[in-house]
Amino acid sequence: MTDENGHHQKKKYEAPKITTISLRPEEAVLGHCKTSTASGPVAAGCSSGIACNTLGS
Amino acid sequence: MVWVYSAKCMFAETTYEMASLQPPMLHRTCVRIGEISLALTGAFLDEIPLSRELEEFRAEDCDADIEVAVEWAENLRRWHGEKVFDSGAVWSLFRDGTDYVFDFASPALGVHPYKRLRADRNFRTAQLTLSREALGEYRPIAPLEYPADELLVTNYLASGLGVEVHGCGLVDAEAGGQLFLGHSGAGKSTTTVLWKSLRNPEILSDDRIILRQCDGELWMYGTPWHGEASFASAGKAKITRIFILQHGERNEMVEISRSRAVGELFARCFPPFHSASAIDCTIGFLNRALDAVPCYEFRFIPDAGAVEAVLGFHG
Repeated sequence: MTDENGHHQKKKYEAPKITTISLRPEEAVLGHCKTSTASGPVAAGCSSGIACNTLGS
Repeated sequence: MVWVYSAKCMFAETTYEMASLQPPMLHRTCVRIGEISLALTGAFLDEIPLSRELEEFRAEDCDADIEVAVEWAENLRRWHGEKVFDSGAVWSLFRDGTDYVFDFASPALGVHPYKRLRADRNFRTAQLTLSREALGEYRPIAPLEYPADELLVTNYLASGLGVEVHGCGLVDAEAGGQLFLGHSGAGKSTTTVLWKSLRNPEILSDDRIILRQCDGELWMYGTPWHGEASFASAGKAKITRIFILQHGERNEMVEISRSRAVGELFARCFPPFHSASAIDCTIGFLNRALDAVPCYEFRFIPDAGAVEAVLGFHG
């Protein structure tokens, strides 16, 4: 970077910033479900007592 | 459905080893999700039914990326190997040499595992063993019932081939592929329903989308693992941008830095947390994906204006 007189200028130092981004374990790990409908112990997809009706969205 | 014999099929090795000199005739069913083909092989047709959700993804007999052999055991007992991950849900993961062993257990089905999935380190071949003791009275059982199917696909993808994200994907007839990522409550289902009512697009999924790259372009694929609105399609579409949903006081797109975008995408994907290399590959994939398309935070009000805002945005 150069100024109006042609002198080289160092880029202004900016301290690194830490941005916290939340991770929701119950959503990031497969196998969690949102609601249980108890539609039978073993039905198709997530609609069972094993899992649930809707994925943990 | 075809009759085949697979020499590399673990089922054949374990069950029929001493039974006959003739190779057993096995049934085979294929599904294709996110351009990944998965073959399910069993001795009887009623051992390999697909769930209602997977039926949409049924494929013709395939040269499978993932071969899964299905068998039934009288019972299963908890695996006592090295435990590497506890999902907090129905499955736990163990190592056995270079293999991965997933034990599935639920109080609804007793204290012992009702299913076991053993996969090689690359998730190319796997064996699903179902417990007759736990599941016998509920037959027919779909062996790939969630989350076994999703675990296989996401672990296979995790070598850098792609990533599954938490979002809704739709294909508008005029505007093309639109991808909206969001945590629970961010507005995925609302967005899906809004677009459906106003534009009637093809909905690839209202909850889970697979991202893959092809020739530098980013593509999204529908998955069987739908959300509240129950949309799941085997379609695909190229995407040119990614929106991260946030409820707002008005409709606006906010460009975010690359590093933050990678972090936000990572927080909305499903990486195999048990593997450092898989996490590394996943982050690498997300970074490459953001070479292909920009990412914006979409603060929105859940009404028709949100759809118009997306259609009118060309940033």
